Amino acid sequence: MGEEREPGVKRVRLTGARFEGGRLPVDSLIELQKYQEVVRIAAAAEWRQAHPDDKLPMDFEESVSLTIDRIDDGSADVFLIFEQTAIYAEYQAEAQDAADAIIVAAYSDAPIPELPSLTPKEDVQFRETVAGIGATLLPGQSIEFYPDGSDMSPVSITIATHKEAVERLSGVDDFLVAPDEGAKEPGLQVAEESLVGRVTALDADRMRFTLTLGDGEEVHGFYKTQPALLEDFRKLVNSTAEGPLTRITGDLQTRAGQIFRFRETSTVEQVQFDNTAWGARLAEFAALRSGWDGGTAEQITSTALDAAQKLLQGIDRAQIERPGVFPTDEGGVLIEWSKTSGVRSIEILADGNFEMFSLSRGEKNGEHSETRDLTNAIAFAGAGNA
Amino acid sequence: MIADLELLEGEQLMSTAEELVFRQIAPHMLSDDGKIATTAFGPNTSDDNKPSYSRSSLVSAQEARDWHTQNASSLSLGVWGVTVGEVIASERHVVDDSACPVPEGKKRAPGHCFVDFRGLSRPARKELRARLHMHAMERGEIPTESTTEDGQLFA
Repeated sequence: MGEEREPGVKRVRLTGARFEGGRLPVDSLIELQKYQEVVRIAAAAEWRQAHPDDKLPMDFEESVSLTIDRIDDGSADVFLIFEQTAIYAEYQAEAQDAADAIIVAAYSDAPIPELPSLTPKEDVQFRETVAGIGATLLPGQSIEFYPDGSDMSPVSITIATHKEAVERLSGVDDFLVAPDEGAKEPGLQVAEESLVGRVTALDADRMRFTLTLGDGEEVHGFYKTQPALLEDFRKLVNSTAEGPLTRITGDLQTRAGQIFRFRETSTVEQVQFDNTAWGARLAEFAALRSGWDGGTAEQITSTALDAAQKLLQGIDRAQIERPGVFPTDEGGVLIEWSKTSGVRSIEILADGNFEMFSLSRGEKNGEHSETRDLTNAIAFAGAGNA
Repeated sequence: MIADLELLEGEQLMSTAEELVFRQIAPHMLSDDGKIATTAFGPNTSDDNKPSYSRSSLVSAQEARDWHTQNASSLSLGVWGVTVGEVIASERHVVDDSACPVPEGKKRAPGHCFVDFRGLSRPARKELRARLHMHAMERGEIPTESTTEDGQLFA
């Protein structure tokens, strides 16, 4: 991925008579300054999100600064690099991704991405600044902006495409929201949570991955505090979206209930279920998010899913009648045989324990017991077949 | 005998034994082959051990299903029911809470009532929902149609 990309170098090519011979008129520098400003806004937002109680450091802004690395022959073919200040490098890298993503979207039919780290005020400022890129262009001139490396297809900014981009960026809906309503926006929420999908992209340099969920939604994430996870990711990544089902657990950031990204990753597990109807059902349970019952139901734990699979395999081998299989709001799995004459169930708790229960119609009290032993649980299931 | 009976202000015991109360079945309570979890008849994480049912004397099963699909966090895939008498025979009670104030930001379904699971131990909760499940399955699904969305002619 991205092997052709020159690390840290951003290519911006200005074309038209004004730039021929590699000349760079001083008044066109403002286009490059605007790009720098866009990244600065996003980087500051990223920093504030990570340090909600602190003031932005005095040196932050000037530390996120662009320098012209070189100008190649031809039209003004400008290669920019960021002045790297190690302590702020991660914010600058994420901000550059955000800036590039919104520029690409503004100049294509893709929806303008929401950047949850921005406050409503910053969001407006951010969009306005992006919209300002290309404002100095004259007929016959263009700016080719290379978001994905110097050898990849550029975004072409001309007078015509700039006009369309400004309309897309204007976010008419945003201006209809009263300022005080915007101020009340809750912003990002962070919670330890798991998502199940397929790892379809991995950027080892940035310690970043893309998880594609069952519905096609792409979720990005970082594993910067757990670099050892790289090897796990390498075993699981498959860009064709046909790779192994994977459960990622970490600090999941959401905004108004919508998934944004994994700020950090704690575990990466391959999720494997039998190729049976039960296996498919357990895979559904693995993908349930917290609150799946409309309340505060917990995610089904990997421990419970593993135990459920083993129990169902045992039930299958023992040719015991097919049970109903359901998620429980405590993060477990309920396996039960229910008839009008009675109920027999094994509830697999989040910690993998088996809680067994039976009640026949007319009985005053049911029978309750608990075990960690799979064999005992299978025997209990089989007793209902007798 | 009704154990642990302690009603809050505005709550009223239902006493007509024949009255049916409807329970909506959400997707996660139903398996692909049509089995319904016993947990479908008990409390969930957001109802304070007061699982919602609807009074058949005040709303039809279809009205109850439509309201649920249009207002609850999950759609209803069908309606099952138990009678007040069956709950009482299980040593619990059904409570009409229509006179209780509705918490801010919440809605209450027309004809709302609940089977009182408050104060029950974990084993007792399992037993009660299993008993309700047996009664409901014996009665069978209450016929209703899928709820259509606004502007949709057919489900």
